[in-house]
Amino acid sequence: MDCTRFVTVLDGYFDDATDRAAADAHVAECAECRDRLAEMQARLRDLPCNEFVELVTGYLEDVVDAPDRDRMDQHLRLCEGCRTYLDQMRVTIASMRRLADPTDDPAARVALQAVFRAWRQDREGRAPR
Amino acid sequence: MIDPVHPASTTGDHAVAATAEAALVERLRAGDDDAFTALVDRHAGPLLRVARMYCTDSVAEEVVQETWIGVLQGLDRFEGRSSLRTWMFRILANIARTKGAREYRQVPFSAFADPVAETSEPAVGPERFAPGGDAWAGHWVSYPRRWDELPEERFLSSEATAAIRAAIEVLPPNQREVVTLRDVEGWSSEEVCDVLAISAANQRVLLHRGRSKVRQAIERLAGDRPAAEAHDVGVAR
Repeated sequence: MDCTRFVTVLDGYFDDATDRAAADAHVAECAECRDRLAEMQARLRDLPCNEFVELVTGYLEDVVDAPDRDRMDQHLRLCEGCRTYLDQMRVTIASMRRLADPTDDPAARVALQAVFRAWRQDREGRAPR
Repeated sequence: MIDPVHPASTTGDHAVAATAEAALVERLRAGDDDAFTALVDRHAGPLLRVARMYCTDSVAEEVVQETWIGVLQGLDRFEGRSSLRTWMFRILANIARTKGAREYRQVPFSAFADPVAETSEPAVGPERFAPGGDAWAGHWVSYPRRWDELPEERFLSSEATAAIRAAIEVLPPNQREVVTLRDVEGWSSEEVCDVLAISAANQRVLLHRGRSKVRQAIERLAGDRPAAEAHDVGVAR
């Protein structure tokens, strides 16, 4: 792996898909990329995952302030675990929304129509003519 | 009808919805059957689900029935200051209250302690993160499992539906209210704050805690092992 390649995979260094062994081999020989790696790790440590997960609702509600949002977006680029976690929260919300699928109850509907007609009749009876 | 003060093009969906709702209410007042059918189609399911948050199933049906009568009787007093559904929800709440405290599952309608002051409830168990002192303190010991790699039936089966419903059911009452209205019924945060008379910050804390627990329930359902060795990033780092 050369420096150009290293820079392109740096953000995904901790992702499963990244060839970390090759990246590490490069870092062992390249002081500049060693610094890049250290700097990336410092950015990641800026927001630990256990803090990230507590900010997720604010993130999805779009109420976190701009600096926090930037920190979270940066963390998401670097952390596959938190990307997955955010996806899980989205699936969770979508799964709950499905509980609201309409359940048709024709008997109840007929009963309600009767309630409505009775109300209307009563109202017409009371209305001043 | 175009509102010259709040044209829909600038105030968006809200104004459009309010105008449509005002028209619906007018038709109801005039005794229009189709308008009532439309109202029932839209709100019968939500009213019953919301009633079930507070009452046993059989009582919930009674509460809903009485709510409809209350809605019709109160129709002339509806001024459109809140949305029709928050107005209907309040009628339902009052009826559920008069049905007696016996029938309440637990604390009713946002008798809120400050949720922020309650004992802390982490969204994810602390054992999932590297302990303090570790070079990666606070970071995942092992990544959560990607659900998109699981067969979709895992989330759509009746077993899954029942598990998600049960997870909401066992939430503390104030979390259950917020999660039901926001995530099941799809209400906006403004509506939920309005109808439950809570601050936006409290609403968010309750939503966060409730949602996080439902996520955990789905995680158990998905059969995630918290520490899959292949994903042990604690070692990788």
